[in-house]
Amino acid sequence: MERLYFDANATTPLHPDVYQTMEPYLKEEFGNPSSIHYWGQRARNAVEEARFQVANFLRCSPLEVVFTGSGTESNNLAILGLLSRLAEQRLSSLKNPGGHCIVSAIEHSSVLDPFRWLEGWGVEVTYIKADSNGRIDPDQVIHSIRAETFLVSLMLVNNETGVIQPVQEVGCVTRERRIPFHVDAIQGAGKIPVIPDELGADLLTLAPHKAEGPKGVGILYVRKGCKLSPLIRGGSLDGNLRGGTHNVPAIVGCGAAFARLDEHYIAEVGEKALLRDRFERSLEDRVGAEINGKGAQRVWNTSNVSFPAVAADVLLVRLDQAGLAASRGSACAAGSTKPSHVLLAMGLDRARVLSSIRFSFLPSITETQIDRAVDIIEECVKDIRNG
Amino acid sequence: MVEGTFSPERIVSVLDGIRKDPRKPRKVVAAMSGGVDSSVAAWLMKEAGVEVVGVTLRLRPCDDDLAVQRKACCGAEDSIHAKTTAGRIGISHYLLDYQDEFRARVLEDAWTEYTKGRTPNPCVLCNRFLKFGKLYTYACEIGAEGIVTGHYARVKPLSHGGMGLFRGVDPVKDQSYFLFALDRKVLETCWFPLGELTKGEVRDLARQIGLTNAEKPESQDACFGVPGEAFADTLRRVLGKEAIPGYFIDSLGRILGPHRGVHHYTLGQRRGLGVALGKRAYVSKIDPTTGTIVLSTEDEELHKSLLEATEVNWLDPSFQKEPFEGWVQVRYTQKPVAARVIPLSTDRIRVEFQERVRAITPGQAAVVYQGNELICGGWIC
Repeated sequence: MERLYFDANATTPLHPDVYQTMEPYLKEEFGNPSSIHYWGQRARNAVEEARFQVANFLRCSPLEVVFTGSGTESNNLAILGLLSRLAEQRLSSLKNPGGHCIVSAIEHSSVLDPFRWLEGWGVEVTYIKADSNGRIDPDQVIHSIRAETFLVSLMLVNNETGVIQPVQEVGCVTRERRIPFHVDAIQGAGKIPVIPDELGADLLTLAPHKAEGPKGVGILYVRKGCKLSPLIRGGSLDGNLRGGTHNVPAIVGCGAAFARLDEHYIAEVGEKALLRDRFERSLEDRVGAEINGKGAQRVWNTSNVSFPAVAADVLLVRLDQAGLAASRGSACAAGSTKPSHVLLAMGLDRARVLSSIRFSFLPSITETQIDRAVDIIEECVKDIRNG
Repeated sequence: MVEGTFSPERIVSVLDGIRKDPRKPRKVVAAMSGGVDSSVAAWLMKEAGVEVVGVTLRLRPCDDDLAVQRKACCGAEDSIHAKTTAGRIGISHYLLDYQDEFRARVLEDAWTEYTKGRTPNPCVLCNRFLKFGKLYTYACEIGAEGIVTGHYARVKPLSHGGMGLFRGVDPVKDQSYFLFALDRKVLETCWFPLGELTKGEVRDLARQIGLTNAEKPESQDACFGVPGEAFADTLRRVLGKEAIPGYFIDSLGRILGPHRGVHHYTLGQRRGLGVALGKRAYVSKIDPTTGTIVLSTEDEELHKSLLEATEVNWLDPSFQKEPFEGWVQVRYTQKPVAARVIPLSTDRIRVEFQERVRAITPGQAAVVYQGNELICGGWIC
């Protein structure tokens, strides 16, 4: 059976060119970048070259790029590392930090969970809901800012709906008021420009495995002057912020993956929005599907589709059995059949949420694949509806 | 336990049985707990040429107690076992979340039974509504034609049509008792390949085919129990219910001391009473309205030769017209006793035992067999 992979927002396959740059570092180039000898220096050069490539992508200084173990770790480092730093400076106490944060209610769990944990310690958190198209209102964020607000966090692109969030509008204000602003840009890379200076971000998260790079490495951009305290200590620290031996092959692959994502790449792949439109129109016409977030500006590769009178978890299994891989939302929440917190925060009713599936396309998507997928979906949906 | 009895011919004959069965499905859903039994059952079906889709039911509620969470929260660990096993067998695997239904249809009902001074059998309810009921619906939804589980029981055609339920060949492991409440329509689609094997054979087979991570403790209560805590107490804690307090009294009405709540006790119970009567004492009556538990030192008082059962489910309806002789079991672990079974209505029977039976407990199931066939079962009034 030829299988179709429509779950690119969960992860992507490694690009062959990226793999090639990694290969020597899985074999003969085994050094530890922290060693002073020949082998260590070769590994260090590779890590710094990768850091340079990422900095180029972000149009920032390499000194502002920190390598971590995953996107989740980067998000945790941004949020909890900032609080630890405040505690060190005695601006807050770890036992009773106080203060206030603002975060959107549609963030990934790797952002929401640290904030929920902070709430348990006494930090007040304002959660901003989305409108029915899945977009956060920047004014609502701005109006929630208080004197004691010490962090605002907003994602660039939502992982479930693909809706682009008004990060820049928020960034202008936080910069003016000198409040640290964290942006989870994981789903934006390769789809829209990700430039912290333009977005007004002080902290920004990336994960190369969402863009044909390797797993096991994440990036946190930390603006010069924005002080964090490390969560993982020991040994030599990357940018003084993360202990542990560098995952050299993954870091090298990370650099290579982001080096591919220049303006030309983004423009070229962006034309595939036409395929997404074809996909959505076909589903609307043939099975009465409804597109979530349709009225908002979205990245080209994500379609969140509701199939009236069809249980999404049943449809997903049918699709998987028929060779089409999709998901109900974040892979990090998969396995639970709890309704998506993102769609609920958009005010969609429970029935619609429970009948919604996310399709996310790889850059290599073709018209033939789209048409075949629509055929499979139509057949499965009709089977379920006919009981 | 029968060990070292593994013979390839026995496995081949089980596989042949499935292959030649006229009702052999194209595709089945396998309920997988992550343990040996359900893993081997799924493997056998696949080996016999049936497309198998593995699923694990998430049933137990997340425990608020963090210490418990680490040990046993919401079966997350079991589902990882099941996923690994499915991967080794080479079948797909999905997780189904029935936490809400488990609470509403199984746990709440079980607690209500305790508050009535009865001793519930949640496994039967869970089998009827979730493991088979919901799973049957799910199987239909994803285009499968049957359900396979690791129960030790057999499904065979009845001479007058339809399928019947029979004891598994391993007399120690037979689990047909827990399946008496299955809907007949669902039973028709059920596959219990382990019913033809002994536990020892299944364990040996698991080793042979490399499903060794399936060596987990037996899953008695595993879907809900917490190590070191009584089932009824876990139930009370998780549902946030109040215990019904009261006193132990003797048969003359004298107060012997306070007890820990009626849900801790079942008829005939000897251990864990915490009172000294000079002689061995037994729970002989539970009165939930006053919270009073009567203890007796006369074991004979607990023996009865008659019971009535309600909500009777007939797996062989040809018996429901007139009285018949059968063998009746009033607990899973109890030996069947010869009895005359008198249908009082379509869902009620009277059982007249040929000998007196100890501790016939309201809330438990009375299950009627003739030979190896399970005829019917109901709840003891």
